[in-house]
Amino acid sequence: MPNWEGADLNKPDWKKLVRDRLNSSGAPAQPAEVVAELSAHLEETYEAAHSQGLTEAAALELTLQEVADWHALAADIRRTTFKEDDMNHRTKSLWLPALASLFASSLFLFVLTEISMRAPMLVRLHSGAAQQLYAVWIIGQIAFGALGAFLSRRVGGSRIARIVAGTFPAIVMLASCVIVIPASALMEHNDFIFHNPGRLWWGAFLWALVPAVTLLLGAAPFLQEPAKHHA
Amino acid sequence: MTKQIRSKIARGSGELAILSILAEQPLYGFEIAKQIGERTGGALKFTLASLYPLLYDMEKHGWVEGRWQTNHTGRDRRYYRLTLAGKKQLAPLKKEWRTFFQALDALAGVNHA
Repeated sequence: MPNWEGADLNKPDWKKLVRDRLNSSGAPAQPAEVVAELSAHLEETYEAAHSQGLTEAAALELTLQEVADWHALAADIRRTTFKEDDMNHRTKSLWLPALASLFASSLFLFVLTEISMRAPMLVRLHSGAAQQLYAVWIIGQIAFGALGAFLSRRVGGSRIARIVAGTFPAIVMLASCVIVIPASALMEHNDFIFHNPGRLWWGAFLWALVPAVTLLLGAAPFLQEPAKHHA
Repeated sequence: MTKQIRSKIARGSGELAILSILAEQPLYGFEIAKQIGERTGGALKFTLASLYPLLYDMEKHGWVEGRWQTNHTGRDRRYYRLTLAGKKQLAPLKKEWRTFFQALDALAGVNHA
């Protein structure tokens, strides 16, 4: 028997089936017009199969074979029915979620820094406030990793896009440590970093690699493919 | 042959099939799939999953235009008709495929495979 949850086999609710399966990925709902058109197609396929002598169950099974992967179909339709000329799929599934994650992470760091700066300098230096601030910021990355990956998956982003979107704050930090800081030191003839490369690597470890782990932790639940409905 | 090339060939042949069949008369999705299947002896077969993304994409490009109408059984169906841009697209597409088959024929003797 085909997988057919919540349906009356004698009179399948095609619109409900199409709506439920197309919209199961958590992505923006497909237009009602698309749902109506696709359900009409399934309805006629079913009727044609039934009128050729197939049993209701066999006709239903044959009809459901029209779509092997509803998630892929939903993504294909989204690419064609939504106005993507202005903003292509990569922008929506990678760059916007990545920037949202980076912005949220940076804002959080800014707020934490502002709060910690209110304490007098001596208190800041000797109370372990910097370590606490860092620990809070690192834990906060879980939420920002989740945010980037969620936003990417929401618009049908690939797993790679979700990983990049989720870990984008760490990627930017790593790029800063490995490229921007040495390049600017070179241009300013500041050879402190080149004489103390360990500081740079320690910075990269604290501000890029450790956050990358916590960002990935947050992104992890959104790296799984949404539940697919197979015929 | 890579998956990408196969996909492009499938897409191109699908566009040609749909444009050709709509050049004769406006049809709705189920009828398009049915007629293409029947007239090619089942060699070209569209499922819902392969047909509609292609149709919507062709509509976005302005080659076809969909409009809800009542069919002969009294049910509302979205009929597609060829637009002027679609008619203009059909001739070069046919030529492109003819050249493609001639090239394959010359190479492998497939004789309009």
